[in-house]
Amino acid sequence: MYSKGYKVAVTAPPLFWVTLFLLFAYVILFAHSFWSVRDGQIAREFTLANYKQIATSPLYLQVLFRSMKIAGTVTLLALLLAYPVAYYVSFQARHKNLLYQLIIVPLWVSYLVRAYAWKTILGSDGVLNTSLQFLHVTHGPVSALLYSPFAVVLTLTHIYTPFAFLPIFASLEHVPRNLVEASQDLGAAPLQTFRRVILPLSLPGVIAGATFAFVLSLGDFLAPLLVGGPSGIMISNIVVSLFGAAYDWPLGAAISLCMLVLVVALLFATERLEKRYSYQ
Amino acid sequence: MNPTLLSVRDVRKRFGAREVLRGVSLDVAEGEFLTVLGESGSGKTTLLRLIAGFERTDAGEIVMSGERIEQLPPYQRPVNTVFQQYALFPHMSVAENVAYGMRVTKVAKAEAMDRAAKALAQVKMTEFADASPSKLSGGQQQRVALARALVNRPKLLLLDEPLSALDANLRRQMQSELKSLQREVGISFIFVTHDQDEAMALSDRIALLRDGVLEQIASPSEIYNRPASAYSAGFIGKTNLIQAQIAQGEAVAGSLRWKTQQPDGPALFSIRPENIRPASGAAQNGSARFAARVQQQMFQGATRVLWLECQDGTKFEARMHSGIEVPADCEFEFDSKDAVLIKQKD
Repeated sequence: MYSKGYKVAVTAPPLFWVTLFLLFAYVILFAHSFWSVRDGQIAREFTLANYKQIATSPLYLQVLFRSMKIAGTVTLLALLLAYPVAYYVSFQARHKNLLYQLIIVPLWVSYLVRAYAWKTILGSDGVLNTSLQFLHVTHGPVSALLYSPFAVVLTLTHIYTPFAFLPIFASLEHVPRNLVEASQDLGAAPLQTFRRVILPLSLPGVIAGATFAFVLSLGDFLAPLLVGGPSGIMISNIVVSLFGAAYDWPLGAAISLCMLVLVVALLFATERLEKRYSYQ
Repeated sequence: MNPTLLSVRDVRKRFGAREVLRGVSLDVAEGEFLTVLGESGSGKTTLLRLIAGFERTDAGEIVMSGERIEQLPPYQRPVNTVFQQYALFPHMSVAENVAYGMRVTKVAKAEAMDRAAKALAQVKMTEFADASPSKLSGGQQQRVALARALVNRPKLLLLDEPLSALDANLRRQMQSELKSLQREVGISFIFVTHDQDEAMALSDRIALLRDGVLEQIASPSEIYNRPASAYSAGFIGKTNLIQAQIAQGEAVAGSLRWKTQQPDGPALFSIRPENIRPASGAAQNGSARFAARVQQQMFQGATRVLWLECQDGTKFEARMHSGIEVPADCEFEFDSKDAVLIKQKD
């Protein structure tokens, strides 16, 4: 057994770190959200004006709605891409480890590099447009490719699909193979086995993967910044500008807290769902 | 004997460099309880998986009711399997598990649930119909697994060491239930086990598998009383193997002599421990006597096991009624007919 002094010595530094940079930061954020800006100064008097503004201003609600729509689309696409790949790697592939590593490799490449890559591909004189013109599919560059919600969805899907893949793959790996055999043995064709046994048993992974993809895309601000253009702005970009050029920390803090509550509620809900569908 | 249901003909299977089955042939009759017995690594589970369709044969045929089935996928074969770890679907209730086979083969839901209920009644699990499999004990899961397989009325049921996860008492109970259930439904069973007592207790015939080759296939009493090889004799029950020399109708091994009908030459004999007894009265013509010292005894309830050593160093194991008192030095005897000749393959 370890002595009490040792336990304190070991746990104190991380606890201090978390308190300072997480808990303390949230307290500051929380306080700011009830203050306001007057004459370019932050006025430390209690007010609900920020929350009222969020609830009534069509701008913020519209961007929030768009962010959720983009995150939802990214989630759907990430699942549709990740599930078949995870299924193949888990059930069919011969070189499981190699394929697994190949799918994980993009996670080691800087986010910025991957986002910029799409800029190069989708831009007016980018790879895609020049190829299309060369093949005479289009005459002149298609400007709608870049700086649009479409570009944001594409980039985010590329970036967050591995995050959906990982938990789905893990849950497929945990489907007992003798259940698959039992299903076949009882007369179920491959598609029925998939629908009635493999899919239901891999739902916890699907839920976890969807949660990752949705939450990470919802809070993303780099992809919209780089490839989104004015029509692709997401809620985090607004927060960034409120804390920066717009200098309205209180409103920025209030939006951040709303997002925090939204995400935490979502995490709670999905965790309960995951528990409901796991059988260990 | 009933007509043949399943024929396995010269089946071979290789995993990488290891040939797990090296040409196995056997027939299963309708309504027969056949046990495939063997040590781990003998290929018995592989044989079962080839019949079920989870693995494909490298060579050979599997014929069922006159049709070749070795190329069919598992879901098209008229067999069902009871798995070692039961393999019940955790996301379905007990009744849904049992109805699964009928649901995927498009039996109407009402009829499926009705038949599932009857199958559960047959294995005395009606009260657990709505329970989750994870709430059941090993023995209960076993019954559900049986019901789930039998409800589809397969022609052949495959059982892969289904009792190995149960404790000794429950195991014996399940053995007798399994046997009476098999008689009741009249379906052929192929039962895989490494437990020779289980094989003897349950089977109409035992197929003894060794290193991917069939060592002997016969009824339990025949395989026990007339083992075809030293391996058979040693694997099924305990035995004393005696190397003897036969000359003019008499077998000689050290100080031992007994009458035999076999031709002259060297021969290997098996003498079961229970056929050795303390000598009493005058020597009979049809028996052999030898003096030995009792090295060790073990009381086992109804019987007692004695380890004997003759003066020339020959060792015997003997089993007798525990009421029989044996002095440390004693004369023993066995009947000549109980010394069974064994063909020497190796």
